[in-house]
Amino acid sequence: MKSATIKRFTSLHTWTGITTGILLFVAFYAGALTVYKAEIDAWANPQVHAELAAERDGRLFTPQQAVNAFVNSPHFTPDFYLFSSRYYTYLPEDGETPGRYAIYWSEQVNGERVGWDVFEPGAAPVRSDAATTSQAANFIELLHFTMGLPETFGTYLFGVVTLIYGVALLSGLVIHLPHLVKDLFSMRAGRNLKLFWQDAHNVIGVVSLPFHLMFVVTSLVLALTIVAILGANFFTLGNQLPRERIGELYEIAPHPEDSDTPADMLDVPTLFEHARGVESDFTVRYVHWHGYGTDTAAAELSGVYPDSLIASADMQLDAASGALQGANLPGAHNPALAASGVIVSLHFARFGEALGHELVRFAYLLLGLLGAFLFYSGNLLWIETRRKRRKPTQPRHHHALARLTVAGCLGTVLGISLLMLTAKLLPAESVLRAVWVPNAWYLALAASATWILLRPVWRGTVELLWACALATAAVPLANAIVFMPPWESVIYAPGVFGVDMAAAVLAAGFALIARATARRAREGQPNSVWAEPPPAPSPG
Amino acid sequence: MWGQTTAGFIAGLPLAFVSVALLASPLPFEFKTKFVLTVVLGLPMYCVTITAAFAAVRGLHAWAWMLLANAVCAGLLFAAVQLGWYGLPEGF
Repeated sequence: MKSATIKRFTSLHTWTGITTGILLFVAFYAGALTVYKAEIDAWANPQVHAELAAERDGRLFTPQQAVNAFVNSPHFTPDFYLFSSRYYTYLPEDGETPGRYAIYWSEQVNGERVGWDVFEPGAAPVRSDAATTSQAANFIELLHFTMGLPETFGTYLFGVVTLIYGVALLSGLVIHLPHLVKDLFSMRAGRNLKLFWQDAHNVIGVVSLPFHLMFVVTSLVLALTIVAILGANFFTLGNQLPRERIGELYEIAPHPEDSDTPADMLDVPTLFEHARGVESDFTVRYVHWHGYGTDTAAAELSGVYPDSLIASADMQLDAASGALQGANLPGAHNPALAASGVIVSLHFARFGEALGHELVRFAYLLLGLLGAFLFYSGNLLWIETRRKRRKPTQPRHHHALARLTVAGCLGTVLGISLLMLTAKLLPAESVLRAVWVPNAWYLALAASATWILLRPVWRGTVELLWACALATAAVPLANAIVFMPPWESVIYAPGVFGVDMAAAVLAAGFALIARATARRAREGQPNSVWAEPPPAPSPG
Repeated sequence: MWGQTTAGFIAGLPLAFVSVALLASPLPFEFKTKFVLTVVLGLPMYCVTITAAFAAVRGLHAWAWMLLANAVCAGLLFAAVQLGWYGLPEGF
C-alpha cells in the first residue's frame, strides 16, 4: 500500500479515535460492569436481605397466587406481566414452585406508557424505579449507552459515536493489516514509554478485534434501529413500506382484538404445560397477558432456549384454551426477532450455555475493560507522539486533551465506585437514594474535572488515580460492614462476593497505575504533560 | 480530507443500504428476511463506505467514485426489483 494512503488512514484513525475515545471509555467501562448487572443489583440491593429473610421464614407464594392477588386487587388492569421478583431469574419450570414473584404493569395516559408499577402479594404497589430499590446497576447500564445524558438524546448520540468508532476500527485495520501478526507479538517495554504504549495499544487492538467488530455491528443496530429501518425503507423501497406496518415485522402473532365477553383463564402451570407441548426445552422468563379475563385474551410467553445461539424465544398462546397463536422458536424464527435475538445474545453475553456461560461473561468483562484501556491508551499515545521533546512547556491543546481524558475516564471510574457506595450506605426506604445514586456519578465527574483543572496534569492524574483506588477498595469494605463479611457472602450470596472480589482487584489495579504514573512523572522523560517539572533554580 | 469526509458521510449513506439490499436480493429468502438483513447490515456497511471514501487520493476523486458506485448499485437494485428478487410482495 502506498505510504500516502497509509498516512491518510492513520490520520482518519487518529481523529476518529480522539473525538470518540473518552465517550467510548465510558461505554466500555460501564458496559463491562453491566455484564454482571444482576450481581451488582444484588450487591447494591438491600432487598437481598428481605429475600433471604423471606426464604428463611417461608413467606413465599406461587406464580398463580401472585396473579390472583393482582386480579382481585383494585389495581387490576387486563394488560400485565408476571416476572420472578429477581428480575434476571426465570419463572419455575413447573409454574408452581413457591418463590417471590411480581406483577408489572404500565399506567397509560393518552395512550402513552408512563412508568411501570410493581405489585407483590401482601404489599402495596410501588413504581418500578423504586422497586429495584437501588438504581446503581440500572444507572451503570444507562451510562453504558447514554453516557449520562438524557436517555433518547444519549442513545442517538451513542449511535453516532459507534458509527465513528466503526470507522476508527476499519481504518485501524487497514493500517495494521499488512503487519497484523507482527504487531501481536511486539511488546517493547523499556525506557521509551511511547513505544510501550503504542505496542500495548496495538496488541490489545489486534487481540480484541473480533470483539470490537461484533460490538460495532450490534451497538449500531441496538442504538439506531429506527434510523436503520427508515434508511432501508427510504433508500431500497422508496418509502413503500407503510410506517404503521413496520411494527408487524417484529410480531409473532397479531395482537388480539379487545373484547368485553368474560372467559375463564388457564392457570400458570396449565399454560406452561401447553408451552412445553409446543417446545419441551423452552424456559419462560416472563408472561405477558393481553386482555386478561376476556374471550380474546392472549398470553405471550418470553424466554430462552438454552442450547441455541439465538437464546431468546417467544410464543403466544390463547389464554383461555392454550392454543398456539404464533411462535418464534429455533427452526421457525421470525426473521426480525431472530436477528434481534442474535444481536441481543451477542451484545449482552447471553449465549454459550454449553461452553460455560460464566466463562463467556468473564471474557466479556475482561475484553470490555481492555477495550476501555484501548481508548485511554489511544489518547495517551496521541499526546506522547506529539510531545515537544526540546521544549519544557507543552502546547495548550496537549494539556487540554490530557485533562479531558483524565477527567472523563477517571471521573467515570470514581463516579461508578461512589454511586455504588451511595446505594449501599443510604437507607433503602430513603427518598434521597433515588436522587443521590445517579448524582454521585455526576458530582464525581464534575469534581474530577475541577480537580484536574486546578492541579498540574501529572499531579492531578496521580491523585485522581489514588482516589479511584480508594473509592473502589471501599466497595467490598462497605459491603462487609452493611451486608455480610466475605466469608459469609461466599456461601450465601456468591454473586455479591464476586462483585466484592472484582472491586478489590480493580482497586489494586488503579493503585498500581497510580504508582506507575507517579514514577513516570519523577523518573520518566522530561518535557511532557505527564512529567514533573524540574525544580526552579535557586536565585543566586 | 474534507472532500473524502463529506463524500463518505453523504454519498456513503445511500450506497451502504443499496449495496446491502443488492447483495441480499439473490438470496433464496422471503422479502422480510432480505429487508431485515438490509436493516441490520445497512449501518455497519455505512462504516465501510465512509472508510472506503478515504482510499481516494483527493476529495473530488472520492465524490466521483462514490457517486459512480451509487449509480451502479442503484441501477443493479432496480434490475433486481424488476426481476422480482427484491421489493414489497403484492398485498403486503
